[in-house]
Amino acid sequence: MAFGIIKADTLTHSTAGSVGTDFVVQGSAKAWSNYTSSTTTSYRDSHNFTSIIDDEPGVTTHSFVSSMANNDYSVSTSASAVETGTGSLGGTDHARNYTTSSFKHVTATGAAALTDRPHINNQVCGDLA
Amino acid sequence: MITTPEFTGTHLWDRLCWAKENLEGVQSDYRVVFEDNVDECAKIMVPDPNWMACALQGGILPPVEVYWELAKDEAQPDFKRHTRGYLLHETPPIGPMTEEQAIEYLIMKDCPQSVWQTWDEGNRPKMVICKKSQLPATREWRNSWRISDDLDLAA
Repeated sequence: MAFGIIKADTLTHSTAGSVGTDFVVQGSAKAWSNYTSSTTTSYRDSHNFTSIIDDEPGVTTHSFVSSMANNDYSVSTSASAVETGTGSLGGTDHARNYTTSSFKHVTATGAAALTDRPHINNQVCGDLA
Repeated sequence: MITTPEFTGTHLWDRLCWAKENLEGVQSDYRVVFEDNVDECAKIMVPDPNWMACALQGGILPPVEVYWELAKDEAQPDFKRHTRGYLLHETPPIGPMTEEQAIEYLIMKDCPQSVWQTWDEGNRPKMVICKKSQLPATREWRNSWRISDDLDLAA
């Protein structure tokens, strides 16, 4: 099995111009996950995580395989109160406790009570170590 | 079984991309239950299926000691940014693990050292490896979950 590598600093389109490959690298998500914390906490699918820890209702810890360079990275999050069909979240979710090796994802009701959700997502952008 | 390319010196991120494309995720039945604060409920660690596939495959993941070195750097008061990230990418990857060895690796990476280094000291264990089926079937009273005092540790 060959592991192909193309090294380039610039991608050039025939008419639309050029973009440096550093833009692609910098702008790509370095980790992402789709998981549930209802019934049993587990990833449905993910990239660049070693484990998910069910800390308590509404709080999970996500640990990186390939660590981040610093703790100033960005985590975009979302959570749904319903698995399928219609419905609204009626609450909030966010990331906290950023370290280069992990972060916590918190989901809460509209009344700010921590709660589990059946469909939760996060994406991490930033620099890898 | 697919053969892992020679990854020594390859960025860990690139290795994970190869694994994502070539390996089927492995949903482990193991769970690690631990308590790191007497005032908080028990926490439950669940392995990532893609990471478990890498661990079983071998030749992809760095030795766990690499993460300890980076954790030491981050614990320094003047830490701003990792300067030894190359340890993740240039340390020769470790060979295939059994699922049990992978769980041990994961404990030493993602559980607090204060838990796994002294898990059996004190009046009761702070950490237990169990099967998913041994956890409560519902999340009722999740805030009150504790490691049982009636564990048969020899089992």
